[in-house]
Formats: sequence, structure tokens, C-alpha cells
Amino acid sequence: MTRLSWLATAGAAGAAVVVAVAIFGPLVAPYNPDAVNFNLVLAPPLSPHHLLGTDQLGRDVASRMLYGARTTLEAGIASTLLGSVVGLPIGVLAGYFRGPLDMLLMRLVDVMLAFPFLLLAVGLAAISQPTLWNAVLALGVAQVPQIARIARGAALERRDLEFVQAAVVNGERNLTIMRRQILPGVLRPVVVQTTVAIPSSIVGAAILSFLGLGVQPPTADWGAMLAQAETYLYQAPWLGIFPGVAIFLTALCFNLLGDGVTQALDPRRRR
Amino acid sequence: MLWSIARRALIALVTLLLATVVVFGAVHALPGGPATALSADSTNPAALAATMHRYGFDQPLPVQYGRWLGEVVRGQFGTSPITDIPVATQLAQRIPITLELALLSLLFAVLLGVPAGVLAAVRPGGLTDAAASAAALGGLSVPHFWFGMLLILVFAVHLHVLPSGGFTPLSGGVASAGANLDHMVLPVVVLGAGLAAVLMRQTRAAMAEALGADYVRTARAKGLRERRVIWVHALRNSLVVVVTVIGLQLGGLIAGIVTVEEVFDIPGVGQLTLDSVYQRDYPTLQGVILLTATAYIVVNLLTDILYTLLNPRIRVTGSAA
Amino acid sequence: MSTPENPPLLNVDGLRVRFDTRRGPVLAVNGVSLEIGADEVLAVVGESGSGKTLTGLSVLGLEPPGAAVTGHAWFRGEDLRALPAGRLRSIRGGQISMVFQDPMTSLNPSLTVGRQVGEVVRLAERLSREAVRDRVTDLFGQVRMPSPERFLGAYPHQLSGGMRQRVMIAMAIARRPALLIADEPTTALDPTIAAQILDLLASLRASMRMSVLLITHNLALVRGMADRVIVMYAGHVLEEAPTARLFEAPAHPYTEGLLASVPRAGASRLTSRLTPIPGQVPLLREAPDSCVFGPRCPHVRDECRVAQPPLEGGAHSAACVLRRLPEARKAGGQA
Repeated sequence: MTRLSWLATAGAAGAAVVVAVAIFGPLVAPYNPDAVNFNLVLAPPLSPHHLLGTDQLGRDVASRMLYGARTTLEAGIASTLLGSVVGLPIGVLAGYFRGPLDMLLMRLVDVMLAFPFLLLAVGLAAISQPTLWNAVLALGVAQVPQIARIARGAALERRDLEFVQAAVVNGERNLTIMRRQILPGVLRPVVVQTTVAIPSSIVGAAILSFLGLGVQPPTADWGAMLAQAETYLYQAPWLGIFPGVAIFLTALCFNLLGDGVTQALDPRRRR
Repeated sequence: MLWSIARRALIALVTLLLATVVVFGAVHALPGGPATALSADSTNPAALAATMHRYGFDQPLPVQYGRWLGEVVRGQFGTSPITDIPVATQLAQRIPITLELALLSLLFAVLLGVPAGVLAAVRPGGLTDAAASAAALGGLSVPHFWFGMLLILVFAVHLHVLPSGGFTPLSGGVASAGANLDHMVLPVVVLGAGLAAVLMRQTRAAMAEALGADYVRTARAKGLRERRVIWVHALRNSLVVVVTVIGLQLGGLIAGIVTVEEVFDIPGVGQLTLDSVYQRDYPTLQGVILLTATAYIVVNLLTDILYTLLNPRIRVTGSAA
Repeated sequence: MSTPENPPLLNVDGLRVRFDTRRGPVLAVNGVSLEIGADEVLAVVGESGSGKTLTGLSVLGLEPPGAAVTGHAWFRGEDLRALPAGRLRSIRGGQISMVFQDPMTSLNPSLTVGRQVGEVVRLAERLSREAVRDRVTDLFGQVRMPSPERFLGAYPHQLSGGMRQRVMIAMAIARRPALLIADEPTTALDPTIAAQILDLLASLRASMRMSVLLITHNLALVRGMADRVIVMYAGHVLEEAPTARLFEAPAHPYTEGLLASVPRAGASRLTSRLTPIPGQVPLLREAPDSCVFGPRCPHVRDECRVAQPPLEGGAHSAACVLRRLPEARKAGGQA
């Protein structure tokens, strides 16, 4: 049907690897990621028994990296899904019914836009506690406007197509029309946007944990690990390099995948 | 056209008001109630009662909102219970610093990303294109705080070329400007890199489309130099993209400012945000959030207006007819 | 017609334009040769897909990316297809200029028309800003735009189709070229406006003694304006004749078919029928091994399936086996 370029396939493969690590990593991790060992603090990589070294509490970096994949990916994907699940109905409703409902929903979306994800995370952290799920909530809400806009645009386009108008004239119920006629045309751009948004969510989640607004220690998370690494940057640079490279490569793979999906599915770009 | 600007401004105002409602609601959702948040000593019941009365928390909600809004509009954000300094003063001190960081980063991103995108589009598939696209992909994927840490490691710690953080204010004179810029180089590069990456990709796409358009063919048929065809005819129609991208990337930019200020220890609004969260300094937090939300809405409005101005079709007829 | 004492202004020789598509190479222009003399109007007529537009574009090197062009285009002693980019650029707009089909997309939407025409003027000589303005205003007057100064600051989308086309023409004549290539100049316009534009072109051509390569699918245009006509089909030239001859005594079945399928002024519903040519223009893969028009030709015979017939005849030539078989020429086939 549609083929992905080799770069996109490489990205997909990389993304699959990361997902596999997230799922199966904890099973093969040599150590408990929270196990401290004050005898072996800040051991450099390639130390015996510790391939990637240990951190300031003697915890095995490799194991923490494997566990960290899970939290990072969870946050990134869950928030993107949240954004899509909430944004899609908003957009479809706004685009289908137009008029006052459209204006209302779009103002709602505008207000959401006014609070970039960082502010939301800050706010949530202030009201309750900073947790992973607050971070997911903040990131997810921040993505709703974009998805809603795209869904709305697609719904507006679909709505004007003749077979949709025929269904309206036929007296079909609104819900049925939306489900059968509008939704298929909306799903494609929304899926594209969702795929494209995953890497930003992953990085965003890392930012939030880095700033202490998401995952809290001692949970292993790449962003949180980087936050701790900041203090030991000079003595133990590997603490900062490994998680950072991991985030970078993960985001890169998902970006390549997203690019490929965009090119394959977006009809306008078909050459 | 003025009408469409006015309409947009009105919508922005409405959004702003709704945003204040959200903030107001959030303050009241705090555990222990807003009085706990706003008073310096939240364990003393007498002090609590005094705060409640002073801020009028015993009044009905809409009245409270009205009072609060009135104070906020006049710039009275209250006093920080931690430092005892009025929030407004703190903000006034830090805003210019953050502004400098933001503007320099924006400038850097535009000067780097747009020409790179143009050059890549002119020779698609060539070396420039491949290199620039790869760099852009990297810039998109790299978490900037990590990038910042790496740069600090290389330039400050190992090479000792640039300072690892801190800030020197501009106090007039070339020397202080030099020191100021010294401190700004790494943060600006870090903050601007991500935006430059997006700009490069979008510019490239817009230029590629422009270069294939009929009017470019006409320009060539007229005998114009290729350089003029690219930089005058094609680019002009791609510039709207720059404005649109900046508008879309604002959210990320704000996150970026906060992280960069943290990593490089720059005393701006971003750092204040983080500090106030860590210290549970609610009045300051409230002020910062309000300020940021307002700035966001205003900048969005400005980019919207700029987009309208740049598109001659809309400029003259008032709509994209 | 050109003679040894009066060499042609433009001599296109063996032009081939090939596209490599997913299904194999396609020859959109397959061995086209034509000549235009000084102060002469040559019309190239054909349906969509005949390759006529590509022929015009290839003369100036404006063919789309992905097009592999071979052949020669001799202009005043130089082969345009073999020129270095700088030299070709200097000829464009100055000695040979082009007017395109759709003035809405062919004009830059972000620049005023005054500026776009001014660019061409500036290429010719260094002038002050006011002098350029005057020149542009003058040109706008030449293309019969009312109140020309008013339009200097206008954007393309503010103008009507006819006005935009006038702007295109103004750009094309600004440097008094010897040859103007007009690619379907009136296709996108209303008939009334189209007539005005054609009239304008005719009068400009006369006053400037300019040659015109008129590319069109509209036979009616051809009759009023062209000295000679070339009929193209599927990348080949099928007939070439002085205009009057073509209309009176078409030598190729395709031309006959074209003439029969077009409404003629003065003909009433009762006396003449419109007879469309059945079938569609084929896309050529490689050198055809039979006459390209054969599948749709009412006179097709065995000899037609051997090879594409070459153009034969002098001033009035046709690529048809029927030319060689005078007794097979259908009597009464002349319209």
C-alpha cells in the first residue's frame, strides 16, 4: 500500500527497540534500580559488574536506564494519547456543528493554549504534588489545542462533501453521520499529528522530570537522572551523557518515524 | 483590515479573562484554601483569620474575583511570604533579563534557520540540503537541557572559553556588554537551536513549493538573475511561514526559557517560576503564571496580526478571499 | 516562409522531450521541427497532451525539472539549447519573451504589478526610480490599461483576469523582443476579454514588428492572427501550412477532424454538425511503430501501421500516407 522511506523504516526500527526495552528491560536488568551501594559510588563505565558505571548513590546506571525507558515512554505516549482522545471529539464537534458551539469550543481551546505545558505542570505541582501523572496531564492538555484544530479543519472539509450533505438531507442522526462520514476523514490527519507529537511529548516529559515537576526520585527516569547528573557533571560526566543520549536517540527515531508517516499518508505531499 | 485586527484583539482579551478565571480558580483549589497559601504563617489560626479577612476570602466568590482582578490589573500581585519582597518588584527586575534571552534566541534562530532552509531548498538532495536537514533533525530531537549540559561540559569546564552560568547585567559601556554577551552565548545557542531546526524545515518546505510555482517560472522567463528569483520572489512568499512557526513554537519556547535559566543559572522569570514552586511561594507563582499567560496571549496576537499584514491578500481585502 | 535571403528567426530542429515515469520513459515531444521568420506569426495547434506547451517552454529552457530535452533551437546564430546559463538568461525577456496561460498563478502574489514589470525594465538599463515608474506607466498604456498610474501599486489578486494578462504582456514587450512566445494567452479568459487581448497582441506585433509563436488549442484564434499553422499531435507535427490553406484544404485527417469538431461562425445548427474525434491522445512510450493518429483515424489503412509517416510536402506538408496516394484522398473531405 504505502511504503516508508528507508530512513523512516530505520526510525521505526529504533522506536520499536526502545519500546521493547521499555517493556522487557526491567526483566533483564542486572540490578534493582533503587539498590544503593555506598561502597561503589560514582564508578566509571566499564567497571566490573557495572557496564555503564554507578551514580552518586552507587546505583547501577545500566539498570536505571532500562527502567527509565519505561517511565519516559509511558509519559510520552500516554500524554499524546490523552491529547488526541480529548482533542479529536472537540474538534469534530466544533467543525461539524459550527456556529455558537464552534465558537465556544474554540475559546475553550484558546484558553488551553494560553497555558503552555510547563505552566500547567507548574500549576499542578503547586496544587497537589508533582507526580508522573500530573506531568502526563499537563503534557496531554497542552496537546489538545493542536489536535482539536486539525480535527476541526478536517471535519469542516468533510462536512462540505456531497455525500455528507446527502446524509444530512436524508435525515440521518448527527451521531451516525459523525461516526460514519466525518470520522474517517479526520482520523488520517489526526494520526499523523499524533505520531509527530510523540517525540515532543517524550522530550517534554524529560524536561518536566528534569525540573522536578514530574517523576520524583528515587524513581528511575531519564530526565530525573539528568537532573541529578547536573551536580556531578565534572566528576562523573557519564551520568549526564547516557540518559541524554537515550532521550536524544528515542526522540530521533520517533521523529524519523513521524516524518515517514507524514510523507506516506499526507496526500498533498505524494510525489 | 483594522476591523479584523480589532476582532482578534477582542478575542485575545476574552481569552485572557478566561485565563485569569482559571488562575483564580486554581488558587482557590489549593490545599488548605487560599489563605494558607497567602499568609506567611499558616499555622497560626489568628494570623489565618486575619489573612482571610484582609483578602476578603469570607466574601462570595464573584466578589473576590472582582477584587482580585482589580488588584492584578493594577499590578499588585501581593508580597512573597518567603522573601517579603513585593512580587511586582521581583518581576520587574527579572523581566528584562528573560526578555533579552528570548529576543537574542529568536534572532539567532531566524538568522540560522531561515537561510539554511533557503539554501537547502535551492539544491534539493545536495550536500547542503542533506547536512542542514540532518542538523535540523538533530536539533529537533535533542533535549535542550542536555544539550546545554554538554555545551557547559565542553566549553566551560574543559575549554574554559565561556562561563558556565550566571549573568552580568548591562550597565552601560562596552566591557559590561562583552561580559553580558559572554554569559548569553551558550544559553542563546541552546534555546535557539530547537527553534532554528523547526524554522529550517518549514522554510525549506515553503521555499520548495515556491520555487516550483508558476510565478517563479515567469520570473526566470523575464531573464532575472537566479539569485533574485530565489531571494526576492520565492522567499517573499515563504516568510509567512516564519511567523506562523514562531507562533506555534511559543509553548516550547517558554519551557525552554525556564530550563535554560535553570541550567545556566540566569536570574530571569523562568528561574523565579521554578523557585516559587519549590518553595511553595504562591503569590509569586500566581504572579508569574499570570504574567506568562498574558505574554503568551499577547505574543500570539502579535504574530497573528503580523501574519495578516504579511499576506497582501488579507491585508487589502480583509479576508483570505 | 523563410528563404536563403531571409533566414528564419527561430529554427527548432528535432526537439525531443522525454520524461522518465514509473511506467517507463514517455516522449512528450517527439522530433518536432519548426521555423519562424522575422515579423511572422506561427501558430502551434493541438489538444492537451500534444506537447505544444512543452515545445514552447523548451525553446527558452523553461521545461519542468525531470524533463530531458534533446535537439536544437537556433536563434540568431546561437543554439539556445546549448548556451551557458548566463547567455540564455540574457536572451530571455530581452530577445525572446514569453506570456503564460494563467496570469493568476504566473504573477507573484506578494509583489505589486508595477514592481514586477519594473524589474524587467531595470534589466534593460539603469534608470532612476521615477524613470522606471514612467516606463512602466507607459507600458501599461501600450497594453491598453485604463488610467495606468493607478495600477502601479496594485497586487495581482486585485486585478481582473484581463488586466493581469495585460500586465503579463507588458512584462513581455518591455524590452522589445524579436520573438514572443504566447502559451494559450486567452484560455483562462472570458471570450470578450480574450478577443480584446488578441486584438492587443495583433496590434503590438504589427507596431513592434515582433514575431509570435502562438500556442493554442483554439482554431478560431489561429484564423484571425496566424500567418502559418503547425498542427501537433502526441508529440509529433502532423501538418504544416499557411493559415488560409489549412482551413481550405487540410491535408491530414486529424486536421480535418479538428475543423469538423469546432463550431464555425456563421454555420447554423441545421447545416453543419459537430463531429468530435473519437478516442484520446495517447502518451507515447518510445518511437512509435505506426502512425500516432492511426487508432482514431477514419481513413486508416495497412500502410499506416508500418511507421510514423514523415512530414512531406513543401510549404504545405503533412505526415500522412494519404499524401502519397492521391487517388486515395477522399473526395469532398475538405471542409
